[in-house]
Amino acid sequence: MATLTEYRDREHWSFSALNQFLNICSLQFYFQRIQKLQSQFTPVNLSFGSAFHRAMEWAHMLKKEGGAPKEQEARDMFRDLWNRQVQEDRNIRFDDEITPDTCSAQGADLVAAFLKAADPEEEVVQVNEAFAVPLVDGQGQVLEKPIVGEIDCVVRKGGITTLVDWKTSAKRWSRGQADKSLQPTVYLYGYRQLYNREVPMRFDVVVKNKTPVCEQHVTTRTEDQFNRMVELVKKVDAMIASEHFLPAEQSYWCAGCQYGVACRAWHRQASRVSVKMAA
Amino acid sequence: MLKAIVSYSKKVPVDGQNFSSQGYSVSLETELPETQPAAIQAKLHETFDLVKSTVEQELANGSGHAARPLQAQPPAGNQVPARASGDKASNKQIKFITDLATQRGLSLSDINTDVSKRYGVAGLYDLNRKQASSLLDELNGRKAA
Repeated sequence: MATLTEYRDREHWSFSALNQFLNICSLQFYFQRIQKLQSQFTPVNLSFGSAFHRAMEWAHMLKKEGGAPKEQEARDMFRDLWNRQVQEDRNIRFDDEITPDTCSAQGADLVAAFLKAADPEEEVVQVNEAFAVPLVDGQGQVLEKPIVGEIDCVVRKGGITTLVDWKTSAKRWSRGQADKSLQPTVYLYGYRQLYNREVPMRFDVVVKNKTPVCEQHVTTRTEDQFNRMVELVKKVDAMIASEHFLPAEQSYWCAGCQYGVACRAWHRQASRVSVKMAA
Repeated sequence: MLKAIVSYSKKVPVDGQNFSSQGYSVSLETELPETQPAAIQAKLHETFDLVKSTVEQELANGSGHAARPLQAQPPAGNQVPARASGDKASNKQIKFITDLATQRGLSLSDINTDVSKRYGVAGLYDLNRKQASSLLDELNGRKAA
């Protein structure tokens, strides 16, 4: 099976591209994915999330092989991964409250809390399962670009297979947040095409409270929701072709956007560059 | 029988000479045995790939000579040369496969299961060009390589 990086070599759609265009900011999408601007800095949450994800990968690979990650071992692993992340990303934007040290301590606590809350009877079937599948709409029309993604983890318990995505969050998830997310639609669509199986998806969320809280949010998708997702992709494709890129100035992401300088100059520039490729 | 002329040309700068270029081009005339639009598109895509890769090879070899004339013949899938076996199938090839398969009433998971069993890959996008070409031939009703 190919890796996500290999699948990304071809023109494609992904949840993160769609989410960025639809829910974060279509102008940020343009700066990052079409104009390919160098970002001014790396948002600390992105780096932190990457290190957390790597720690989860390590712990779940260990579980898959029959091992059991110990708390102190997991804490040390996160600190080590975080230090490496800081070296790799270099230009992470910290502030007075969020420093490399506070992140290191908080991440270690989150990983420890996560492992403590994990169900020991749950079998880890797969870690980081990449997929690339064709997008087909409700009328049977096949889109040229596939949708690609990587499922964090596949688990099984009592004969039920569940796709799992690991998340850290600044606050508790609201009721229905998982049901509205586009991510399970994309991932369950991919999984169904590859394995012909209808399974649920679960977000395992660890909330960054002083004492971390672990939540699980299970969701499923229907055929109609898959068709709706493909229609969304078609519309986004058309919007990109017509250079429909607008600043989302009330987006929660706006204040910490790594393309802020380019965005502030956007309306003064003849920046209507022809779009040759998307996503 | 439908006929198609497929051409590819490329201009590159001449080393050491400003404001000058050399052009390389290949044209290939071929017959299209297919009648279905998706199959015709697939054949055109394969032929274009062949013509394009020939021009690119000439440039990569630094021959500086005009491309040799190609013998016009139908570019059957198993005759497409010069691609490494690890070269992945293109998005267009996979789209044609999916189009043809869905027209025949196969579901996407059926196609993936079939591809997985026959080629030992996880899914359609893990096929290489040759495998995809062979599968296209089969879906078009011709004997695969």
